[in-house]
Amino acid sequence: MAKEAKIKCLVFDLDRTLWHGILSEGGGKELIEGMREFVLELDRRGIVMSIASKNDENAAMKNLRLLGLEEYFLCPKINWGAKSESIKNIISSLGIKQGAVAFIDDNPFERDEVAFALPDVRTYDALEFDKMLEYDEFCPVFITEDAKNRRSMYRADFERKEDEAAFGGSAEEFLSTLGMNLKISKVTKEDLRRVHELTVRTHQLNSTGYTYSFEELEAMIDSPDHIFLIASLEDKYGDSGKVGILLIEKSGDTYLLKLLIVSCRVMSRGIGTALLTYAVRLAALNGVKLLAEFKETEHNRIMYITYKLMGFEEIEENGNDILLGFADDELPEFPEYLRVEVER
Amino acid sequence: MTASEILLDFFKNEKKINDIDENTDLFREGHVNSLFALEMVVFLEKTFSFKIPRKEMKKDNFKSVAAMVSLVERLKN
Repeated sequence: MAKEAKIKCLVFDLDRTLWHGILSEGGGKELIEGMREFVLELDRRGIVMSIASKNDENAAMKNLRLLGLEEYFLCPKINWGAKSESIKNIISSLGIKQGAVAFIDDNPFERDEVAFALPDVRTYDALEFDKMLEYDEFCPVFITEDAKNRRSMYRADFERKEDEAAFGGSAEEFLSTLGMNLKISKVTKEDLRRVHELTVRTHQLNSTGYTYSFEELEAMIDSPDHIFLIASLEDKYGDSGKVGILLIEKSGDTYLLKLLIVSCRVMSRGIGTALLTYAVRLAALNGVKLLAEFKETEHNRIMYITYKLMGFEEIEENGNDILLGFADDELPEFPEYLRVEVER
Repeated sequence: MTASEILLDFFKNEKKINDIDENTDLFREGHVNSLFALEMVVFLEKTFSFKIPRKEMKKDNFKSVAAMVSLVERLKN
């Protein structure tokens, strides 16, 4: 575990942090000056927000509604327990890593309690809020369409998760109820910011962790030596946006898979398997060998297992750098619960 | 419980796959996606206290409960 470069979620205290005074003592009528703008700007940047407050839940939610901010906060935790516990719950509901979470509170005791229990969570004094938008960790490299829609995507995720928890059958049976449509298309200039965002934000479902400059990415769009694809996913709960990247380098009779990335938001929905299946089938169709670079990290074992269980085998190993080759006699099939549409 | 019973119990009760026996091909039935594969690997490693080495991480070892049982026996010895 470690602190990550960019914050994905900011957790707010309420009394004397978001609003003036203490709600249970008649305060809370007015927001701290500049707070509404702060919240709206974080939302625009795709940084999600939540709440850890010691308060009466009904009263606090009602007050947030009156102030017109309720919709901006995902899975608020308002109770009398330790704030570190509330933040732990938020982390597991959102599926965000501790190191990408921040907490803002006026009370130094609460900040210390959280910092002690969750050392990778960054804590901020409420007095700092008007400077925080300039801090590097709150400045995403780019602000993409996907970032702006992030809050509604998380909401759709909650609904999907609730339904899944209530569903009696296997994961595969649940997936087949979603009506998922995966569209694979060529990366365009408009996609580059999202591509960049996925390369820096994704750690688990990332085969190599390679990052490229904007210029390098742009050059690969038109390059005859590359196949550079992006995948977007939709299901009955809504549009999940652009969630996957596949980058292949062509040379002679070989396709070399440089990058396979799937947004962790759609983990467990078969997207990585489907994209890898697509790459294998594309190579077979063109009569070339498919190799894949893999860089082992603490986080991406799931990706290694995905390759290996699809029939890739080690060709070369050099510490954490592994070269894999597809070596199965049979071509993999796309999962039945997923409709795959390829745009050329 | 035998390794086979432990694994069948995992797939039936945890993964809610009802129609499974020792020889059901999990890949052919479309159950295996990334997360499922990871869960399967982690379950095996935790339950039987070993780490599956790179060379044993291959489709044939995971395609059915019977295949996983022989992997467990091999790694236990």
